[in-house]
Amino acid sequence: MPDMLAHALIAYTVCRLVSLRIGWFTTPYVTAGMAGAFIPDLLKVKHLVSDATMESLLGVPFSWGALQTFGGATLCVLVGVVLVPPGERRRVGTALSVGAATHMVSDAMLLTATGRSFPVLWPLTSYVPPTPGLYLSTEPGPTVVAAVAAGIAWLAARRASAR
Amino acid sequence: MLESPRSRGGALVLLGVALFALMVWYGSLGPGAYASQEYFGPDPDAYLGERVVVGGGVVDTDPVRIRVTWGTDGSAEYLVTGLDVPVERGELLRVAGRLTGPRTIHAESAFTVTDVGSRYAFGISFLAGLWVLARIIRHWRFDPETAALIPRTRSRTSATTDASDPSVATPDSDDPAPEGGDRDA
Repeated sequence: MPDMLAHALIAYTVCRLVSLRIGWFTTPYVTAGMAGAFIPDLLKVKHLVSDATMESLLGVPFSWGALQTFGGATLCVLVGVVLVPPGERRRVGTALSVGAATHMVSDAMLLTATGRSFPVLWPLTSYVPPTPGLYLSTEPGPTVVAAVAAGIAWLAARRASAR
Repeated sequence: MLESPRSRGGALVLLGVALFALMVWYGSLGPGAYASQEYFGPDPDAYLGERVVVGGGVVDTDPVRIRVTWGTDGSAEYLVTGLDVPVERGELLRVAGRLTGPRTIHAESAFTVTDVGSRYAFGISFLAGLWVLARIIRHWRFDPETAALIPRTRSRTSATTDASDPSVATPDSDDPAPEGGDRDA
């Protein structure tokens, strides 16, 4: 993926711009959106406990990769939704989803050796979209661009609230 | 709707089970168009001539050899032919191509990642995690009565305004419902 800071900055930018248009989408929900951006990266736990280790421990097939798909991300968003009271759920669910979605879209544009990304919409479909291969997660370029965008969004929100 | 800590705890357990089931399901899907080392590593004969994709540490540059691991303890060196990118020992090579021999891959497309790049990604991701965690602590709090996370609102008695974060300073009509309120708009 573009690195996690780029993801957080992209989520911030999108959510901050949304907050200019939608009254209830205030700062706590911008933060919820940024938290949502971390959801697809939960699969990184595989570096601690690999798929293979899980399979040998449990005796069943297993892959953390499901967490970066539509299905896995949706379930994680629902976990977030359950953590808040009923009156907050629609907003938090929306914010988390927006954040997770920005992450998945950004990841779908990563450079890969196969020219295709990953089954983003699984289990709705196992189609693997082609990727424009714009960047690697190890490059700082996307982060710089995202930081500039975040700065602009922040300034725009500041000016809007100053009126 | 789910309000009591018990019903919500039950929902969390159900979601956990569903997530686990999803990960088992995902793990049971076969190789896609390109098989990873989890498939061709332990069973090279079944994938001879097939498209494969793998990442491995470069251990030799002339000819190019990478070390590939799979499973809990599987490991082998692969000869990579047909590369048109320069590689250096110690880098990570990500290659897609065909398995032309039990331990040989003919590259169709490849790129490298330096050790510096990997460490950068790890470090910056850690920083990002700290930033978002700090924001969560600043903008949300755990209400022990309802055992739920609720947004911090700028109360009328509070003198603090977040000067660095414009939206918190917007009029109260934009702020979320007061704590405990069930305003399901």
